[in-house]
Amino acid sequence: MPVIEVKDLSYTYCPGAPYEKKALDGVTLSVKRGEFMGIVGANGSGKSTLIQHFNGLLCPDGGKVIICGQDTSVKQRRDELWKKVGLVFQYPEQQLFEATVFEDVSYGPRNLGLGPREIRIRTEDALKKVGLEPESIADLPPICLSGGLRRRVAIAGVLAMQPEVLVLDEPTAGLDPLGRDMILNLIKKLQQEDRTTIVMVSHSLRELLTLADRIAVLENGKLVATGSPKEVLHQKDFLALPGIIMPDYLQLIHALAGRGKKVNTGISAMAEAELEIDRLLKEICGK
Amino acid sequence: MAAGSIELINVTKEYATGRSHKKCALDNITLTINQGEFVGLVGMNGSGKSTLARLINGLILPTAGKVFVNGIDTADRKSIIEIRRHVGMVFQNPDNQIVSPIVEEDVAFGPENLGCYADEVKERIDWALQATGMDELRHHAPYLLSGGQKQKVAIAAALSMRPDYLILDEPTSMLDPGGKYDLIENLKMLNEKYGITVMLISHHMEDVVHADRLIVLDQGQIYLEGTPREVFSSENFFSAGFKPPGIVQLVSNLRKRGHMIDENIITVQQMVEYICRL
Repeated sequence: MPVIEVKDLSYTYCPGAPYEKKALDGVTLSVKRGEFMGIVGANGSGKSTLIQHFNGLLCPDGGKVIICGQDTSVKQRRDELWKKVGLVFQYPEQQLFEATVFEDVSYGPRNLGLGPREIRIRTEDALKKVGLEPESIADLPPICLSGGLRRRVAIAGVLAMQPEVLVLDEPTAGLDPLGRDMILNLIKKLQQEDRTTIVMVSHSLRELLTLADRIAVLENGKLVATGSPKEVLHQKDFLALPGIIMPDYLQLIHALAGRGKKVNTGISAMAEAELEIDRLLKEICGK
Repeated sequence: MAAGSIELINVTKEYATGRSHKKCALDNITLTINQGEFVGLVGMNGSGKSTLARLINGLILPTAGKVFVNGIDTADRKSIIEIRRHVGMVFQNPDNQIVSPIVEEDVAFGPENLGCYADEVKERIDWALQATGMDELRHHAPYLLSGGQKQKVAIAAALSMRPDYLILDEPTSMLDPGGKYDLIENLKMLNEKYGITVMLISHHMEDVVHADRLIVLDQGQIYLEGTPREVFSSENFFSAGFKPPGIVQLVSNLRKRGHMIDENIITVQQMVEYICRL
């Protein structure tokens, strides 16, 4: 049974107003338990609007969103939904507000009404999951940490709720290369070791090609493609979509194919590109 | 202290982080940026990039050392307005610097405050909007534009001051790849066609492959400096945790496989031409 089921979802901002904008238009999509789903699309294509439906922050104007078997439009069940789906917004470190790391990460569990022992266990557990040592960091004020560390603390705050589904909106934006790698490894580990279902929005096709099991592509509020990274790459016109640019190694392969070189454009990973060029160069030199 | 350049001489900047604690953001930096250059500035979070940018237009002053813009000391507060005219700044999030409800009004804000006559204001707006390709959207409301378009409005507003130097602090981090590509192309054009000196701060090496010079900051010091190719091929670059653009990695891996590929290749275009010439 899918964890997330989106059926013919439509959503309009400011309906009836002069700036009315149809942000989502007939989107149908499902995410299986334990799956890593990537979402790509240009600025303004509806990515963030879509994921805000996953924990009931937004309710559909048309269609249905069913999370773990529950319809998100049933208001009485909203509390349960928030426990099941953890949403990490863009720049989540801007939401840190408590005086110490411990207090911030434990904010969720405290509001679940858990006992002090359980709160401590969950908080320390969440900090360990994001690769932080509770003993050394718990009592520090978040403000004195670097951007990458603050972001991990913010993610720990969501993990402390022990969500079944983790939804992340551009989790690596604005981070340096080391910070990016750390966050990406952490997300992949959560999927593989904890079997957490992951939905991740990213502008970096390269990140999603290496991490995601499936990728969904949005354009102007419509779902224009879904499938494995390879399937999506081969979908006709995918690369012509606004806001989508291939990683440079794939640009190279496609440009070479365009110049009449015999290369397999059906690849998605950098290592495959390396093998293709290796073969091509050997062929050229062998002649 | 020649005119037509930005000079930092033994600049140190410390921030107080508590009653008795100090954090050294920049540590004795000496650097010259010449007019007409396209300089890329990269470094990890907390390496001092933004501090460096803010020192150049006098938003902050050095704890020790001097910063000169076209020969004017930024510590000379009487000249600060002139310095700001020379140095335009564009920040990461355009929402933080757009002030007007209409695009062209936002672009007019600078020249109007310089006391320019209406004709001159109009001429400057026309030029700035045309140079950034935002002419068609001049009557739009900025908040209804995409992130990339808003970033171009912020650049147009900086350009309307007719600056010699344009400093951009991670302007691409909120953009999709299409918007990013557009923005970089636009900066290259401004640099080549109008001779505007560009200093581009970014975490993404792909953004700065076309720079004339690349400066890598680490813990407040200049860690590496040179052409992008020189920097990307340096052992120290790897060991500090940086990754060169995919093409550079690909070339390096292929060389390890025994292919004698030209080490100077850093862009897709160069690689395509190289292979097609074989």
